[in-house]
Amino acid sequence: MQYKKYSFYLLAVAFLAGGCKKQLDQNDPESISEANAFKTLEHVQFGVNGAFGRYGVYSTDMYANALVADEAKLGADNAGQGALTYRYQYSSDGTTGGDVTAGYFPYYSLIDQVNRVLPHIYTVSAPASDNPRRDILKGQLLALRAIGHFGALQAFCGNYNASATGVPVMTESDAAAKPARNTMGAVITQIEADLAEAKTLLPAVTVATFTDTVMNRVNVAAYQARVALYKGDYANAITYATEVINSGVKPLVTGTAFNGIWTDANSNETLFRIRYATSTAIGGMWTTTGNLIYIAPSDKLVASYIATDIRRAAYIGTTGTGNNYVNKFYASSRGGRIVDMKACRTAEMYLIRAEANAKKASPDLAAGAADLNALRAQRITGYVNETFATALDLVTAVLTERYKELCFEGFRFYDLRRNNLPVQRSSTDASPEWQTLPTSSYRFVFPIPNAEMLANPNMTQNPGY
Amino acid sequence: MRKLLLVLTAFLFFAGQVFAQKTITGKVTDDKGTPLANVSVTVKGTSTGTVTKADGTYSLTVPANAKQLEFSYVGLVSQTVNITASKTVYSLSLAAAGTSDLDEVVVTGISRVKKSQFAGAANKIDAKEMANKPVGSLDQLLQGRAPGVLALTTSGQPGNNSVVIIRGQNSVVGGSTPLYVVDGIPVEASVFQGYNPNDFASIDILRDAASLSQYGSRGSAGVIVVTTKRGQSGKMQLSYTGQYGIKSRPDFAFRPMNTAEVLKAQEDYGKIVGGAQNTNTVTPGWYYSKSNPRYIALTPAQQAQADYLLDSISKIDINWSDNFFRQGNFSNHQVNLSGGTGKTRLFTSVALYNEEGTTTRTDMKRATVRNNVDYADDKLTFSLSSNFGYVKRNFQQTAVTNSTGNPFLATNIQVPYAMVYKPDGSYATGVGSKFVGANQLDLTKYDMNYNDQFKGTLGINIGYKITKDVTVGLVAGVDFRETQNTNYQSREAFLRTPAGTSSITTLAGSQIESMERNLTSNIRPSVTYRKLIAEKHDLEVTALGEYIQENYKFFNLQGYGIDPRTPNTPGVIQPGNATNQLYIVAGGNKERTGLASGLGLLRYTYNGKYTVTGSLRADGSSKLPEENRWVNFWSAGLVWDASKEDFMQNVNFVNSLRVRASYGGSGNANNFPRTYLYQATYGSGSYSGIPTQVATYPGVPDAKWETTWVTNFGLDFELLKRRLYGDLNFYDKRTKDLFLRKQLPAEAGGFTLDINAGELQNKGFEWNINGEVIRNKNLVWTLFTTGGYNKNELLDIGGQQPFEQGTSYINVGLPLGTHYTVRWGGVDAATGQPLYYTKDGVLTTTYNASNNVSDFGTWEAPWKGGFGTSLRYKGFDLNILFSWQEGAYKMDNLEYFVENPVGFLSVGYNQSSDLKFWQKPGDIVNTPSPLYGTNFSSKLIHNASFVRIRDITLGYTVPKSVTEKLKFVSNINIYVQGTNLYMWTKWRGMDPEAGPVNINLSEFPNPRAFTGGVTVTF
Repeated sequence: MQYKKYSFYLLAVAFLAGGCKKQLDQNDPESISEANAFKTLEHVQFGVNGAFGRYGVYSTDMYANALVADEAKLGADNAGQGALTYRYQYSSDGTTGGDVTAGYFPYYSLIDQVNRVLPHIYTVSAPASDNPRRDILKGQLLALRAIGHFGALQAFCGNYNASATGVPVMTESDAAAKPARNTMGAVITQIEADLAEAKTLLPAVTVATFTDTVMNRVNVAAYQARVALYKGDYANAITYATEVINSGVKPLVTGTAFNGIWTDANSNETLFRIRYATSTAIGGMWTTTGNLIYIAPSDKLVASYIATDIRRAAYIGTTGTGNNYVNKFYASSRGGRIVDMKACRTAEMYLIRAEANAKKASPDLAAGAADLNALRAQRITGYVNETFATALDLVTAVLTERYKELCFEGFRFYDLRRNNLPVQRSSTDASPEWQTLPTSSYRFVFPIPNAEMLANPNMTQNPGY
Repeated sequence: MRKLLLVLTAFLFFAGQVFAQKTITGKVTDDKGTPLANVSVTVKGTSTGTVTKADGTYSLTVPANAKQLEFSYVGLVSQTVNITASKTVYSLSLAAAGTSDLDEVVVTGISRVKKSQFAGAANKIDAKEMANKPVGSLDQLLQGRAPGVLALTTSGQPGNNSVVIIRGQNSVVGGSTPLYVVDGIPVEASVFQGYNPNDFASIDILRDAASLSQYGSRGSAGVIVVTTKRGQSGKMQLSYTGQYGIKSRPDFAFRPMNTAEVLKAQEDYGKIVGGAQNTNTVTPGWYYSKSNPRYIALTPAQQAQADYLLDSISKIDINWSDNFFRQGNFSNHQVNLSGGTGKTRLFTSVALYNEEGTTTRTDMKRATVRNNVDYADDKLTFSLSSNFGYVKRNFQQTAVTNSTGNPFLATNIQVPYAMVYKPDGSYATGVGSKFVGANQLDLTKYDMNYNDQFKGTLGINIGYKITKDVTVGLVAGVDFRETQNTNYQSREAFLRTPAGTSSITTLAGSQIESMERNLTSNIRPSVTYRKLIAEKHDLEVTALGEYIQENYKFFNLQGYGIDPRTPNTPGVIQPGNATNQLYIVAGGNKERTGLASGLGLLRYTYNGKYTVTGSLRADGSSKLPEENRWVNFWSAGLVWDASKEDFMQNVNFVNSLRVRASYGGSGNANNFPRTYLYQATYGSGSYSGIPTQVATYPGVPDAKWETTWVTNFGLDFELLKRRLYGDLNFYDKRTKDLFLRKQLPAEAGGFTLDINAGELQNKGFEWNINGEVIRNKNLVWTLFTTGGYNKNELLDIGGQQPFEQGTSYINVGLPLGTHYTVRWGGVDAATGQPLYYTKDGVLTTTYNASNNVSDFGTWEAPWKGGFGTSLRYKGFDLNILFSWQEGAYKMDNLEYFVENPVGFLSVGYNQSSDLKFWQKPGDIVNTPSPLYGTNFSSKLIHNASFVRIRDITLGYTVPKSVTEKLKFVSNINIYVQGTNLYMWTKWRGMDPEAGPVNINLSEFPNPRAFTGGVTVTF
């Protein structure tokens, strides 16, 4: 009798033990395991989409550039947002340096995403008819990787010097990587190689087939022009800018066609954009969706526009109580404040070519003036062409035009640095303590974030931090 | 599991023997000769027993070989008598308790162990200490009542749970939440609103290896074991308890400026800064000032106008705190039924709890029903415990954030010269700093944020004696919770009107509905062998198997376009389309984890003097990779009852003296930093509406258990005729293979991994000392103190880089929670510039995070405890409890806002009345000239130590002579009580306890409460 009872008990225990193994094998129901991550070309496409999404990091360049240069001031409702950055009190820590270090990890996340997807492009199964698509996907990834490296280089390194310290070059995904910084020359070489290869892989586009939401030969050329100008390679800057301008895909416009760029009513002049379907990440960057003005256009910027300049109204708004706010990336034709980030525009190409023509070994003042005048003619009602006596005059005029044209698009601070100019804010914009950033200041190069310094023993901090 | 099987099989071959039996009778009285009902009478060392009847008599059939009888009753000192062969009547009287814990039983949730044979460190909070406290969550009862426990209630929101840390944080990223067990069933931590603490008979807090190792993989952060009330034998007794009270905002050391002060501060600011500030109307104190250069340029008429406006503004002085807080209240009604006939006992309670918080819209309503059934015969014991709770809680809008959307912060920084209401009676809302207070009141008025929670806990415990020595048991139970959260965001609120926002979705108004479901189920079969050999060798061996499964699911939906005429329902959500852009957002997640264990327990007591305990346990968790899934834990303990030695018999001042030692290991299965730690994963997402796929976590393929090993030495003592009694414990707790956060470099993907590396130590001591100053027939006066010191130190981080976690710095040699910032050097009296120290101690005006140092202490108080007194005089009963913590440092983020002329005063926010900023050379102040900003530095770190009067209770039991005349009533007890009456602290924020433990983000302060109540037993 007793033994019957025992064996029943034993059975129950044995049953429990057998069930254990199965019960203890649990998988995350919401995640895709690494083994299942890339099975088809569709999955690769998802990975590429993810890489495009990560270029949203460019908004950190837009924000930090405005705060540390002379195009913005703290707005009427600012309660500390960006204040430490604006007052040049940033350091490598997250508290004070949050704004200026914000790009570092996301730029490498973009690069890592590219490097994770690249090895799978030609290994996943797909019908033969999909083979051209593989090349296109690779071209897009290479272009994005170049843009990622360039973003990190601009923010965390100074002006171009091939032998100076750059940022690490990453061409494959490696969770164990602890790279040292490459030279700027090595970084630029990789950027140029990626952009060049991307161009060979991407299809040619026409006015009809051009789209500003993915990489193609024209907008890759636009980035090549931007890189060349940074590098001081004026001949190539002219070549690539010309390639974009002559493609005719996005000519300069004026009037309401110009205003519509900023509300996404049209896609004029836009060579590359990051789309926001529902997010106010860009539309709420300077002024909250609750209409609190955290970061306002500087008085200096507002005063720089003459009355007939259509950019004044397109870029600067004024509230009923007389406070200025950033109107660029503000209103949306889609309603509310959901606007896209315009990452690259044709106007920049005219300005790159003008500057390169003024700076190249034997300056071509006429060609430079022609580009500058062509842009101004679109922006200023009743504009009369201007001529320039010296290359320096032309460079100065181009820089001022870039200030007025490209404000809040992530250029001004880098432009001043590239031309060895100090930041000079007006007295109504800033207290004396933070009115000027002299050219000698180490703050012209942003600090490597502390998190990276702690995580990577081979990383070196930028001087001064 | 195989180990378990072997152990089990071994036991099954012990054959049972049948013995002759005899019947014992007797009568039990108290020390005054009054018969005592419901006294438990058991054959010592067995589960054979009964309880006395109403007239104090009992009758019990015992085995012929039974040696001793044990008489116990809650609140009275237990007694043990030897059974002699010739005698069958044993009558005695039991003395009043409070005098001894000699034979207290420690409930570990898995086993019940007599304290005299318990090698571990555990303390009990009994029902008397917990009864009728006006709190909605059981963990709020713990502060100051048990040694070694840090319990901080982080919000005054009714029913908020507490942060409970036992013997120091023992994990860096895994969390240190203890395991909670109710009537043997493990329950979800931190969600206790559905329990009624008045149903609890006791809470045992287990802290050392000997007790924790029974929980092996789950016990390393300590175990809190709740035992609920059971039915008492005898006729069914009905009792009613009613309570009512008020709750109010406590006093804060922090005071915002009044109108005169803030206008003056604005003027002082403008005088120094000038420039754009001269024409900034948000600082009227300066804008209209006669010293403002703008003023001089005005026409006489304009000047008169400015004077008039400034005068008008200066006459408005609103106390925003008064407008925001209200008087809350509290009530509780409870009916208990307790009784039993024959072999079955029953306990039923039904209670309705209602609390209105100290701010508008916060409340908690709870209905609970508990049914406990017990059955016992000579072979079978069975108990069923069930609790069902329904809770509805209303919340404030967002709290604990550093934004003006936090109403508690808005109240503190709202300028006093802005009106609360418009002439039409609506809130004076608007855009800008002047309106933050009214905007929040407006949101509070229109929005709704509440949840409905259903919680059910059901457990059974069956024991069956196969033979005299072998008992098999089965414990099984489920803990189920479902919470529905609703957040209605009305478009009538100003911040959702076109004047207040331009976000399409915000303008539309929205309804957020979420559903959360948590189910923990467990099953625990066991077999126990117990034998007393030759009257000296008391042996008990138990083998258990356990399987626990946790299922969790969360679903969330936000829809837009809610018409305010049909508010607060998901039924009117508008479908989204490209035109209205009001796409519904839905999401959620689910998880399932399993934990399997096998456990062997051993206890051997020789001659009542020496006890050896041991345990061996194997655990497997689904959260780990297969090769590291199983881990073995063991523990060993020793108890020496020195007072039973011959040489102690003549030492008269010692009544009892026990020395304990234990060592053992336990793990942390509930506190893994991730549920799927070891798996490399990709996740799906969306970029502007098109699908994406990105790596979400690289996985840690060699992840393993974080294990904690504790050494404990303890001493239990009763001295001077039991006038002085208590216990002391010394411990050293080491957590190995610590989960640490490893930040990968950006270039490696920038992920944060949770890896196993390093070692953490907690060592310290705890005391629990009680002294009876006066003890006579009418008056008993007791003083008590309980507390602990804990030193937390990270011994090793396994070669990983030190890292920052929140405000703290994780590095070798530092305690967890160590603040890490630049040392504040004060304000340069000559220039008004802020000064900071470099790492090398040199003063500099440049703020640089590379100068961060970790010299500012930690938020986790090393010293904490409670003390108090109780006084019993005839029918009166006075209990006072103070709770305290010492050595805690917290960052005061509020100070950054309210002593900050540059960022806050200048844009129209109010400041602290403590603000003194530099104005002219020679000023010795702590806030720099407004020409310079301030950074986060050690200036903001302040001592958060406190002593608070946690509870004062005065009770009165109506004398029997009176109640006997009221034929239908057997007992009446009335009381009045005060909670959180006063606090001594240097902290200048609102409540040092409230908010995140490390930083003050302006959180709901804990209220003060006055309550009164009556319990009538029929």
